[in-house]
Amino acid sequence: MSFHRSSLPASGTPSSGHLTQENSGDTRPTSRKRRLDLHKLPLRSVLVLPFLTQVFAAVGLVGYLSYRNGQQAVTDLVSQLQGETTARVEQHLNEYLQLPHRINQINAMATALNTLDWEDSSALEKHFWQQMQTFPEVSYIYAGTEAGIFIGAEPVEDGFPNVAYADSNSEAQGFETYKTDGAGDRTALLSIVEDYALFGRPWYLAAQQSGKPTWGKPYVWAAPYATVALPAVYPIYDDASPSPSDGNSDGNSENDKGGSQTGRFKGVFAVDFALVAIGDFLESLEIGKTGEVFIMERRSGLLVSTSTEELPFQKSADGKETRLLATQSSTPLIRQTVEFLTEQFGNLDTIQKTQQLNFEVNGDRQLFQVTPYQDEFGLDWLIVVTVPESDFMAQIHANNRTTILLCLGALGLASLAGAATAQWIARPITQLNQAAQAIAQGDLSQTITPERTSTKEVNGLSDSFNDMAARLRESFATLEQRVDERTSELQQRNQQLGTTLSELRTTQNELIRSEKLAVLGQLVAGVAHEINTPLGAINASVGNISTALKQSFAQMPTLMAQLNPDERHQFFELVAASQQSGEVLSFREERKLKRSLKKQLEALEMDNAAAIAQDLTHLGFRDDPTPFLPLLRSPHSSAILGLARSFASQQSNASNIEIAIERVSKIVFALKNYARQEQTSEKILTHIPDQLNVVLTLYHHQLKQGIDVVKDFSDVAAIPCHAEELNQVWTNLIHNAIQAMKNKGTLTLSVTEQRIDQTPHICVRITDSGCGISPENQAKIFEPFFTTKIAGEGTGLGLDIVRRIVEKHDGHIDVESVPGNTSFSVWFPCPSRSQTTPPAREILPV
Amino acid sequence: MKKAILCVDDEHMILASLRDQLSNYFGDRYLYEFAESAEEAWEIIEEFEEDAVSILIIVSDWLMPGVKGDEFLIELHQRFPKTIKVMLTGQADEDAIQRAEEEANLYCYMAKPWEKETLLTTLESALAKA
Repeated sequence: MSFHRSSLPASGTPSSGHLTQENSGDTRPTSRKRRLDLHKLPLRSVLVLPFLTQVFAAVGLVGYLSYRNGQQAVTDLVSQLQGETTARVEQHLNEYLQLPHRINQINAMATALNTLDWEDSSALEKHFWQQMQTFPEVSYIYAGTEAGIFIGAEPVEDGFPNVAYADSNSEAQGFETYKTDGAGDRTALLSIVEDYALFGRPWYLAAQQSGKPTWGKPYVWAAPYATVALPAVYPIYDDASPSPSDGNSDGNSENDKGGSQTGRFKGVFAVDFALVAIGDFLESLEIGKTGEVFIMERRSGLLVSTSTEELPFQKSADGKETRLLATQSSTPLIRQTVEFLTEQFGNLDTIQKTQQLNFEVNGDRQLFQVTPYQDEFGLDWLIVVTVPESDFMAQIHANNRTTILLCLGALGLASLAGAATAQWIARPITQLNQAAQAIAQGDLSQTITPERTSTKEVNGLSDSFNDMAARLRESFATLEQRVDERTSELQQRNQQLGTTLSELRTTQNELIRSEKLAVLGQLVAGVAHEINTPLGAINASVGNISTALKQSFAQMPTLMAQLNPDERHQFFELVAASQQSGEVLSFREERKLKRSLKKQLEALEMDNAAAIAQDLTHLGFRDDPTPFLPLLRSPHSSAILGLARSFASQQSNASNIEIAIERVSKIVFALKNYARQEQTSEKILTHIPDQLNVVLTLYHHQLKQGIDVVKDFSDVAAIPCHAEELNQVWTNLIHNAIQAMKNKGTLTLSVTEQRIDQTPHICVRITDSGCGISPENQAKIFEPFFTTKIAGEGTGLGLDIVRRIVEKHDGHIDVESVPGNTSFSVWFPCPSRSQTTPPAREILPV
Repeated sequence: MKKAILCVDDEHMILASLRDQLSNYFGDRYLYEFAESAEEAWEIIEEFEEDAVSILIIVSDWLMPGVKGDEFLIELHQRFPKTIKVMLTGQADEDAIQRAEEEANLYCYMAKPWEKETLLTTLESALAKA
């Protein structure tokens, strides 16, 4: 399980949502970054890095897996080892611990069969002496009788067993130990220990109290060397009388094994077993390197035996040996294990079966197994086998170090191999790259000698590159040749162009002239109408005067003869009144007058009031007709009005001629003004508003058709200029404006003085309400031959010439245009007013 | 029913001289009216209709502010096809004259300055047809 989980990051297989999320959240930005970085990496790194990564990943993975496997194997091994160790310990304990009871049983049976006389202490002594030599594994074989006699034998190294005798009935109660000879006879008294009270000994009491074979309390036996002795005791009863203290003997299944439990209590057989022997055995066990095994009493917590050097008892301050609690052990491992057990189980009684546990001490895991050990004589021990994991892991860790070293070594080798490969592959490519860069910078003499060791592909690339370089050289050579050819061709063309250019200049001058003529021609066409109209009027009026004169000469004598003096007087007053009418009325006004006269005459009950009103109006009569009623009612009224009309006609036609002549002279003046000083090359002082008025006059016939002219002329200074050229400017701009408005709209002319960079300028702005000029065309309109008019209508030179003229006068022109408002602004620098004397201005007949 | 001759020209001097020419020649045979624009001409035509005056001839200039002569005559022709239309003008483009001939049944085009006799003869011949 742990293997699977921990292998996840290495294998990279996402199996849990959390892990996947973490991975994807992490890797996405970094991978993008890495991708960016890859572009900057040199070829060598690109070749080496994946190589290294793979090697590193493979070695690392294998190392990690073997580590995990090793750990698992160690756990298994340790558990197996502990199991085996425990089994061996149990087996040995069984062997050791059964022996004392067997000896007791043999002695008890011998007593029961009367082969051994219970009362004969010297026989008992001999018997024990003999037995001691047969069973050297036990440390004491002895008996205590109800008579207060203690008889025992103890083994002696390299000698015959010692025998001991104590009589509680004696005064001294001395415990006497004798050396023996080969026949079992006492030879010398070795020691006497005073005050040996048999009936107070724990082993004696234990046997007496339990009433059956059992274990006495282990105790520290000081002589001849300190050891902990575990006494197996066997109570002896007289067959005839039951034991008074044996209350639960009936139910005891040990009946057949032990001695008789009925009858009078006679004493106790006992065999001591030295726990040190178990310790020796435990010490002989090999449990890993530093693994330990120890046995402790479950209830008391006292140590029974350990595989360490430590003895299971200690010397207290008063010199007495006392048994050692496991928690007081000087071996930290034992102490910590017991503490951990207590902590884990609280009461050790709860450990019913073998438990395998582990805990950590200073980062080192301790694996231990605790097994309860009990026998039929009431032993209740715990066998604890503990092994530090490091005993086995040391090898694993060593393996790990080897793996890391191997990994590093492999990495190093891979790096070297990768670098060599990369170098092998990259060097010709780098060479190619450098050569290609050199070619890119113009050095065509690059060739590459492919190395023999290079790969087939790189060699192919080198060949292709050399081929390409050769071809490049070839095509460059061809190219240069072609460039030379083209250059000479171009020179030829240039000469031709020069010729063409001078021809074009001539043509251009002709075009400018023709543009000027075109404008003039178009002007003249308009002017023709302007002149033809008054001419027609003059022509007709002259005829009318002549007719009227003839009529008046013909009619007057007859009429004068017919009229009386009063009527004659009135007639001439009528003629005079008709001629007094100052201003010429429009025909609309005349009709109004005629209607009112007709009403008046009708009110005066005149016959044919309409005809009379018509005649009076025609006369130019505008007064009250009442004073002339007699005249109008006279029978000669028709003749009277006819003659009066003849007179009036002469007068009105004369004034008509006058008006027409005025009109003609105005046009002639404008033309004269427009074209004046055509020949002079010197600048003369000119008033620009005057020039504009002249041009407006020439365009009068077009403007009157539906264009409102708004003039806003400031009193600006006269400027020195070529007047006829400026006239061409104004003519062009106004003509364009009229065309743009299609003869309907508002033409605004303004002349103002403005400062540009502290220099006074005259600004002439000609604004029309026409359709406007599109933004893309605004940039082009001053270019020569640009025109939006259909072919044949304009040369396209108008505004080009305008610009040239303006610039010739140190001025500039620009245009602003939106539909409905297009302004051409022309600026001329003007001298300060004091420097210029106003020219003699000709007053225009406007 | 009274008969009238209507002259349309933006120049007062032309109308004034025409009035004398016409009245001297035709005397009281016709009513003469003069309009200084096409708009004014329509006003007069409406007055004539009210007074039951029929227009025999219309003499019109071409180059006038607002409505041009040919346009005026074409529109007039649609309402008064029998009226004789004469154009008297200082300058007119050929297209305009052609259009007037085709769409207004223009009787005659005369250029300014005009000969009195030519005008009067033309009008006489036209009146004979009317």
